[in-house]
This record gives sequence, C-alpha cells and structure tokens, in this order.
Amino acid sequence: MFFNEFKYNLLATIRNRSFIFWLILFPMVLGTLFKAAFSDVYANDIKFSAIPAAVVAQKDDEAFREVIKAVSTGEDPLLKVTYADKEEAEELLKNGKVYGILTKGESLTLSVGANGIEETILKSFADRYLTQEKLIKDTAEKDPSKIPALIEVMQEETNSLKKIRITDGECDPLITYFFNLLAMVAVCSSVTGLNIVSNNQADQSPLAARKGCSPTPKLISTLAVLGSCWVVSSGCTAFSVSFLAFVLKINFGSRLGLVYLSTMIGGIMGTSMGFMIGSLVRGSEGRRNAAAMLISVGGNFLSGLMIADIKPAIMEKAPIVNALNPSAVVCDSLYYLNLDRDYDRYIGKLITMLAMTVIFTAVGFIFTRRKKYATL
Amino acid sequence: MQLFKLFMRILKKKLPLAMVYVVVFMLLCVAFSANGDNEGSFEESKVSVVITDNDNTPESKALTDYIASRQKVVETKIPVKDALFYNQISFSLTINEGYAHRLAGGDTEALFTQEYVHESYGAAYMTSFLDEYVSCIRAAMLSGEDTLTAAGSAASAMDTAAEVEMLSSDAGKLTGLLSGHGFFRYLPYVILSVMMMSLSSVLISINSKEVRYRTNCSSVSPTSYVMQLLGGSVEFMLGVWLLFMVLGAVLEGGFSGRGWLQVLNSFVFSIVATLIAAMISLLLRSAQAVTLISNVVGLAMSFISGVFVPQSIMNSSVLAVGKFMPMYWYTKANEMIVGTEVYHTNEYVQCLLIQAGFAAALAAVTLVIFRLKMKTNEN
Repeated sequence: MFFNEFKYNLLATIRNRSFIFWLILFPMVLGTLFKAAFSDVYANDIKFSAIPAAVVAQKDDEAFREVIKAVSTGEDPLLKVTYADKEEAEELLKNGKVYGILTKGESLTLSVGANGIEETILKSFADRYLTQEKLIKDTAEKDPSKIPALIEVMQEETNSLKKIRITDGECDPLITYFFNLLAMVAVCSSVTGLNIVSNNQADQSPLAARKGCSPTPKLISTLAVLGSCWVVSSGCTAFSVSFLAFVLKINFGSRLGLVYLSTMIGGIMGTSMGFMIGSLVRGSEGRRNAAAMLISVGGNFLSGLMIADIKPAIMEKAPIVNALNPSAVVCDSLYYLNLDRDYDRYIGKLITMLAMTVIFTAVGFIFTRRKKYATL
Repeated sequence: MQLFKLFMRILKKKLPLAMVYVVVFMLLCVAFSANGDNEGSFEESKVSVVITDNDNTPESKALTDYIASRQKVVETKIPVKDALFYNQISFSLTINEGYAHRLAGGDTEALFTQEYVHESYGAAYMTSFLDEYVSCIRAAMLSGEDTLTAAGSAASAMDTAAEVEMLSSDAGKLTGLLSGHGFFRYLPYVILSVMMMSLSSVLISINSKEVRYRTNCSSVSPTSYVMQLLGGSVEFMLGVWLLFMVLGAVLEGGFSGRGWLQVLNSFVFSIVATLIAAMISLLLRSAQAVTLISNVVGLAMSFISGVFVPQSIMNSSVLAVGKFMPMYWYTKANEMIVGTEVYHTNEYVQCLLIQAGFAAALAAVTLVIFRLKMKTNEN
C-alpha cells in the first residue's frame, strides 16, 4: 500500500508543470541571469585594482617621476597613470577615464570629479608625497647631515603589516545570491508539501475524499505522500546545485558533497514546512498557496535574495530572525561551508534544519489527524 | 463602449496583484533614497576599521586614537569574518604584542596583523596609511625623539593635506552597485511587471475563445473592438505612468533640469512595456502562464539590460545581448542622466528613438499576430 501510494504521488508531482517551473526552470533562469549580471562585478567594483589617474607635470621633476613610477609599476601597483597636459587631463576626468588629476607644479595638487574611496586614495598619495617633502625640508633646515638617513628611512619598505587570509572559500560577496537561490528552491518546496494535505484531507479534494474511504490507514497514506514529496524536493534542489556547479561553474569550493547535503535537507525541510502550513491554514487551496508563498518569499527577502545587504543588517540587529527563518538557515549553512575552515557553524545550521523538519512534520501530523466530516 | 467597460471591470479585479509590485517598489525606493550623495566639495572617505590592541601601551593607544581621528573605528556585533565578507567593515587591524618595544628598537617587521577576506579599496588605503605612519615615526626618531613623542610628530606630519579641487565632471559621480540608485533606475522593471501582470491578464480574458466568439457575433465591428481595447490599454498605461510620476515626484522632491529627461524616458518606455504586455497576451492562453512568463521576462530583461547591476560594471558580452532589448536603451539613457556615464544630448535622443523603434516593431508584430488569430478563428 505504502509503495503504491508513494509511486503514484511521485509521478503526479513530477508531472505537475507548475512545480517543475518553480522548482527547476525558474531557478535555472534566475541562476543564469545572476551569473550573466554579476560575473564581472567583483573584479570591476569590489576587488582593489590600480586606480586610473592623470598626471600633469608642469615642470620637469625627476624625483616626482620616480615616485610615480614606483607606485604605478610592480606586482600590486597603486595607480594606473596617464601623463597628459592640463586640457587632456580634464577631458579624461570629464569622461570618467580617470578618478583624479595629480598636478605637480611648485606643490602637488589634486583635482577630482567626485567623492569616493578611489579619490581618497589619490589624496592620501598626494598627502604622503607632501609629508615626505616637508620632512626633508624641515630636516634640511635643522640638520642637513641627516637627510641621507631620512631618505633611506622613507624609501625603506616597512613590512609592518602581516596579512592573513581568513578563508579558503570564494570571497566574492555576490556568491550569496546563489546561496539564496538554492535556499529559495529548498523553501519553495513547501508548495509540494501543501499537496500532502490536499491529497489526504477528505474535505480538500475529490481524490482525498476517495482515499479517505479506502482501507489504507491514514498514517501510511500520509507518510507515503510525504515521502514522495521529500524525494521530489530533494531531487529538485540537487538538480539546482548540479546546474549551478557544473553548467554555470559557480565555485562552491571543494566541499560540493556537503552543499548537496545541506540543500537536500533544506528541500525536505521546505516540504515539511508546506505540510505544516497546509495543516494549519484552513480554507481553499488558493489561500494555503498564498500563505506558503508569502512565508517562502518573505523568508527569501529577509535572507537577502533580493537585496544582499539585508542579511548582515539582520545578523547584527535581529539575529533571532536569521536563526528562525528557514531560508536564512539554508543560506547560512552554505555560507558557513564556503567561509569557514572548520565545520562548527555549518553543523549547527544542519542540526537546526533537521530540528525544523521534525517540528514541522510533527505539527503537520498533529493537525491533520483524527478529522471527521459530517458532510463533504 | 461595452468592451471598454468590460476591460475596466476585469482590470479592477487584476489590480491588487499589480499593486503589490507598486508597494514593494516604493518601499525599496525609500530604502535606497537614504543613500544620498553630496557632491558640493571634496570629502575624504572614511574606512570602517575594527582594532584589536594586543600591545596596550601608550604608543599603541596613540595609534588607535590617531586612526579614530582619521577613520571610522567600529565595534561589530557579528563575527569579524562575516563583517569583512559582507563589507560591513573594510579593515580588521590587530596591533601585535611588542609593538612599542619593537618600534623603539627600529624593527618594523609585522607590527600589525590584518585579517582579510578579499582585497578591497578600503584595505589598500589602510595599508598605505599604516605604512606612512610607521615611516613617519621612524623619520621623527632619527632626530632623537622617543617613540611616544615620535608618534605625536608622525600624526602632525601626516596631517599635511594636499589641496584638492573639485572639478565638474559628467562621469563617475556615482559608481558601483548603488550607482544611479533611486526611483528611475528600477522603474522599468516595475512598469513592465505591472503591465504584464495586469494588462496581459485582462487582454487574455477578453480575447479568450468563448468571449471573442460572443463578441464577434455582436454588433461591435472589428475596428471598434480594436479601438476600444486600445483605448482601455492607453488609458491604463497613462494611469500607471502618471501614478509612478506622482510617486517619483514625492520621493525625489519634484523634478527639475535633467529630471524631466528621466520623465520623458520613462514615458517612452511605458509605451514599449504596454506593447510587450499586449503581445504576450496574444501569445499565451492562461493567466497562470502570464504570471510565470512575466516573472521570467521581467527579470531576464532587467538583469541583462543593467537595471539591477549598472551597465558600467557589467560583462561586455552580456551587454551586447542587452542591446537587443528596449530596457537596455532606457537604462543607458538613465545612466547618462544620473551621471554614471557621460551625458550627450544626441546619444540621449538616440536612446529614445531606439525605444520608439522597438515600440513600432512591437506594435506591428502585435497587429500581425492579432490578425492571424482573427483569421484562424474565422476559418
């Protein structure tokens, strides 16, 4: 009996075009769009690269040229310099080709077109140049014999900063959009969970009414339908991970197996959430669908699917929301897997998902059992 | 006017769903408008720094105080690792134990530790800042000053500021992910979604087989049929556009100067969006399919055309595909108006004309499909 129900509900769910669209096609389309739109953003906007600047040298100053050469060459240059006359430089600034113009006359001045971190870095370069020039002048006035030592100190690499990279994962913050996309698939699996109620509560559909008068115990029937929905939702999430990892080549790191694990558990949790919503919300199928979509999409929004900056804001201001939001739990499990070298936080999220699955399923069973109908 | 009345009656039922888009859009616009830009005079950007002082000496405190006077020293409630990843802070600095002692002995190697997730502009700035600070202390110590006095001298020396002139620039005023933030940047996505969700659904209902057969055998002529639907669609389009312009005027504090160019740009795009919705209504059969397709079409066009991510930082191959979409030309015109790209009047007009060209092409295709459908039904 169990396997019969399991098999036919599995087939019916797979043949439902709406499920296929929202759980397979829509994530594929959205993932492709994310990939297309965000592919160059990290390199162009977030990661540091040499700042384009125009240099106008009003008089031939060999020392200044040497300094410019030093900061615009090498492995990690600070500036990408274009020498130009005043008019050309202003044209470059006007057209957005450079962030600022460094003009070396009697002193060093900076012209910019806007406020921003790039312009601030250019100013700090100009400030530093003037500071060193001033120190040399002051020393020349006080004790000229110390000038060679001063120049040596100024030119010497201090190596004062030791840099430690604290993650081995993908460091592009925009990867969280893909984590959220997988969380969306997992949590939107709730639409399959709604079917458990529709197909087993006799007052919800003709099919459920017919099943209600069959000799199969309701527990067996519900478990069979729930099991088949779990298979479909975990299959859909696994498909989405495969599509992102192997077709779009999203870098999930070396722990891809665990990415599959957490998203599949997420899918099972989403289905159970749908089962619970279906059992708690009375009324038409449309009303239950609306409730499930509202909770899923609202959770996705708070998890950062639409605006990534919401996530850290909630992490800081209302961490309890992140802890209780199923979308955020799935997304965080993938995020911790990417960022952390150890598994502590990841395992915590995995346990949360499993606990939520148990609670949602239990509530679903409690509110669908022992129903009696006077009329249908 | 029976058909026109029917159009309005069905539209009334479809509006609540479309209004969800309007309300969410307005909320997001209010959130984004909080990030206003002040472009009057040059202001240095301050880097968010988290400092851990493991040395706890007067020298390390002097450094902490100096950083606090120049940058934004913050305490984060979330783990530093997460704050760095999400760009909530730009720099995590640890002043290592023995900082003062080693500095006094002239050893500058690894005085500080920086934990990082990615190489950001803020981190590059702070690296240079710390390097300069240490160099200045060493320079001051050459003249016999002790470390603490040298720290004060270094801070004074580093306060030397270059003269900065703010030139008028047509480009680069707003760069990055939030460039051109505000009302008109996301407007095309919302207009298109509202049009498809409501207008397409209404037209599908009216053009459904049974309703059309009944209309065909009534006294309404085919010309009147088309004109009444056109009248309803135009009225709805004008209504939606005017609603958005009023809301935009409230949010932006009225329109002035180039703001009116944005208004004109949005009007032309509204015509295009109406025609896209009309064409889709002829290609699809059910309202459910409209929901699916409008989500895909709206998001796809917006992502590829640079609505959600500015064109200036997008992949060039993606933008090459985007050029075949009217939304690309709307966004290009808008980016010129807000200053992300250089503004040229002829290029702005070109963008409007290309959108008008798309509108003409869509109108022609829609009419052809409509006539083909009518013919099929006649046979």
